[in-house]
Amino acid sequence: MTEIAQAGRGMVDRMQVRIEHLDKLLSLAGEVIITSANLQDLERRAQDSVARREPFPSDGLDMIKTSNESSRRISQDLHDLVMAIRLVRIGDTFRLFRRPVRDLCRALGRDVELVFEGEETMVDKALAERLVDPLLHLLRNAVDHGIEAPLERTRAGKSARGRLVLTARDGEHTTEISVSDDGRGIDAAAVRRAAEESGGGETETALDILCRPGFSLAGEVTSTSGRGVGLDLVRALVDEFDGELTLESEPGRGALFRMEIPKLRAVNIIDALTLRAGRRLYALPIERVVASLGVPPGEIRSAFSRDRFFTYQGDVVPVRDLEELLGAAPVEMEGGEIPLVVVQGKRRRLALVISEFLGPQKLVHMPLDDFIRRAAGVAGTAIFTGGRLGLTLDIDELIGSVLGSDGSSLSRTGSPAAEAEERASSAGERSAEGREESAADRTPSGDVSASLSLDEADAAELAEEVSQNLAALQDAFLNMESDPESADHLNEAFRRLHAVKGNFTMLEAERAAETAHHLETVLDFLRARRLERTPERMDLLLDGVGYLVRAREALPGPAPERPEDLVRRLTEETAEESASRSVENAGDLIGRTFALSPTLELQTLSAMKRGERILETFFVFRPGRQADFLVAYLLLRRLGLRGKVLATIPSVDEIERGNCGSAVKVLWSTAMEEAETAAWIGRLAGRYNLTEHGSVPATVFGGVEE
Amino acid sequence: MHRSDKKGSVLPAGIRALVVDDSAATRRILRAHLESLRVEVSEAADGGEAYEKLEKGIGSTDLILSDISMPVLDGFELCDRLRSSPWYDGTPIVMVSTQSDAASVIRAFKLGADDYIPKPFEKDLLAQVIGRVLTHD
Repeated sequence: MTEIAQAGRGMVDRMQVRIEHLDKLLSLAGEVIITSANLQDLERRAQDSVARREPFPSDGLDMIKTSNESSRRISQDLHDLVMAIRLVRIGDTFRLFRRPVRDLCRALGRDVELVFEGEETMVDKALAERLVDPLLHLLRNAVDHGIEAPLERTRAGKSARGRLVLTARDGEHTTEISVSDDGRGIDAAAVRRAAEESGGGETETALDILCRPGFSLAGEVTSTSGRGVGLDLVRALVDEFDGELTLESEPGRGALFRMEIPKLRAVNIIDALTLRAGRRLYALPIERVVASLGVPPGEIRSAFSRDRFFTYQGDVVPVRDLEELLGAAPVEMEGGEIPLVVVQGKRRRLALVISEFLGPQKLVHMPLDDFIRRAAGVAGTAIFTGGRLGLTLDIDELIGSVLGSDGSSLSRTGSPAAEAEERASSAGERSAEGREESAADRTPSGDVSASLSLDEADAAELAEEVSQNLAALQDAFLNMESDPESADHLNEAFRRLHAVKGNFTMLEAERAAETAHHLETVLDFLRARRLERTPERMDLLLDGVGYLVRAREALPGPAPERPEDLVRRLTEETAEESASRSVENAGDLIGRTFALSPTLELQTLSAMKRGERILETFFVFRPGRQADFLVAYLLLRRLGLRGKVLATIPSVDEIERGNCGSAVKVLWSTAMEEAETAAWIGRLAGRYNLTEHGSVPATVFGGVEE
Repeated sequence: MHRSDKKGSVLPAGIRALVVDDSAATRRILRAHLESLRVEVSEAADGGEAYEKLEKGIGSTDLILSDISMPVLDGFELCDRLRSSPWYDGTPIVMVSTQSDAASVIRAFKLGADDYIPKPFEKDLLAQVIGRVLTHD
């Protein structure tokens, strides 16, 4: 988390409350008590009247009317008061920007005066918190792309120092926040021209174009390039608060971005889709609902395990029973189509089996405090139409509890213990996070153990990730079959397999890691279309994955024996050339001379003319975890910082192809003195595990004289 | 001719590193190693998250350790983007990956990576590499 975001959050987590607000709160609490006592009294009198079969007295009716009115007034006052308490001074948010703007000006060589206006304006704390990032983007854009360097400004007849103004204004219905600068401004026509190249709608304004995600990255207009970075975030925030974003700009004179945010009307009112599952009522945030539909039972398939799936818009979506997820008995099927609601998580979708849809509704959502024990996925409660109490759902948490935190489905084998396993694994995920936090508190140990040692928790976590990735891998294969045209599933499979390989390597399950590597190679060939996707190949891949699943189950033990022909079949597919590398030993290398070429001769000559020394330097290093070619490459880059590399043995080309042993010889020129060169190379020795090194003035071009 | 067998030197305290890897376990192990080297660690689960964090926290990262194969934005793309950003064109980037074939390694270097640690990683190499990428000597 960045410092500034942290500061922003800190400001919001705790807030100062004015004494007069607390006094008002206390007096409202008193009124609530009185009203509630009146209601109790009325209830007793009403019961009396019913018991005696007498009409309800008219003064009682008056009292009901009064109580009703005061309860309505109290609610309104309470609401207004809470909203007032939530207000914070915008100046506190503005102050957070001083340092980043100053740092940025220093980094970019700008001279900018940052001015705040309307610091006393009060805004809702939620808005104050959310404003931090978008404002930072706007300010940064202004410094980076708006305000010119001092010299350029003076030339344009402006003051050398730019002016950047952050303004807040309190309107009747809206709060206005704006960022303005007196820089070069934004040329709307140029923006539009740039957009036309990337194909833009004609109705779009320059601002719309700038707000397209990633627009500026493609933009090539100098005066506007970069101007859109982060503007999509600004637009998203303004949209979220139902506000409006406007841009005023005059090329050469400056630009002004204005956000007008309506003042909040109410707290925690959500647009929800309401539904019934079993005997309970549920509400889901409507923006997370992808679809609500009835599906014939036949369309829900099982694959690999007892997990259920169905295909929605070409996407394989896991199907789960909502009641069962929350720990109750499964929803009873009422025959015919199965009502499903498809919800969107951060990355993945999930389909929930329910009993019936009740329709969209606005609800006041009451979050449950963290100390109340609740099922994963339940966010809070809400009163539904008809006064019934229902549960509101947290979609991300719900999906997390089913598919794992990164949205990958867990592989299960269909054993009766599967449910317990699921619960344990999601509990494990939570405690894993706890551990991650405590890792920060761990005191640094002084031990300098050379190799990586895994403790049990690490190993368990790596193994758990293998399960998740294998399941997602199987999903991806399934998707590949149902949607053979798309490259996404293949890429997803590749990525998952790669992660599996990494974890097996760390777990020192070599056979499994090696098998994953072969599979990866085949996938890579498929991806590059060097191999065709045939059913036989898909079967082979699935066999390989099947082996990996068994290897996972064998953990923490070593991977089981592989089916005899698996590796052979896999390697035959790609006919992996066992790289025959020409590894040179140091002795051979030192004896070799650089091949003469006209270019090399020319370069050497011009280096000499600059008064540089031409050196032949050789390095021999200890082979280690880093491949030889890698160390050789790094050494060449280092030399490049202090001089110019003219030629190498092995050639740069060969090194880049990995053909290099633990030694390299370089012809290079440098302006450093002899002693300085020797001392510098001496310092490289420790950093690159050099066992030997040496330099001599180059004699390769005998004919060349100074 | 010189001989040397000295290991990487001790790092100065308070280096701020961003660890980018989609495996929580790898991040945790890296964090433990780095913290024992007195490096302050923050984390990102993919290149996209890393880029966002870096965008928001200019000046708060001295060093980036990144996996290559990740969702959203992979290590190559992250490298590429950071090198074209005025704020991160000089921040050392170390790749930490199982992908150790020459083509991948060289590609990472050409996109601006400063060093490359193969997985599984050793603490000594980690210390040595961090020491050398932070030295402009």
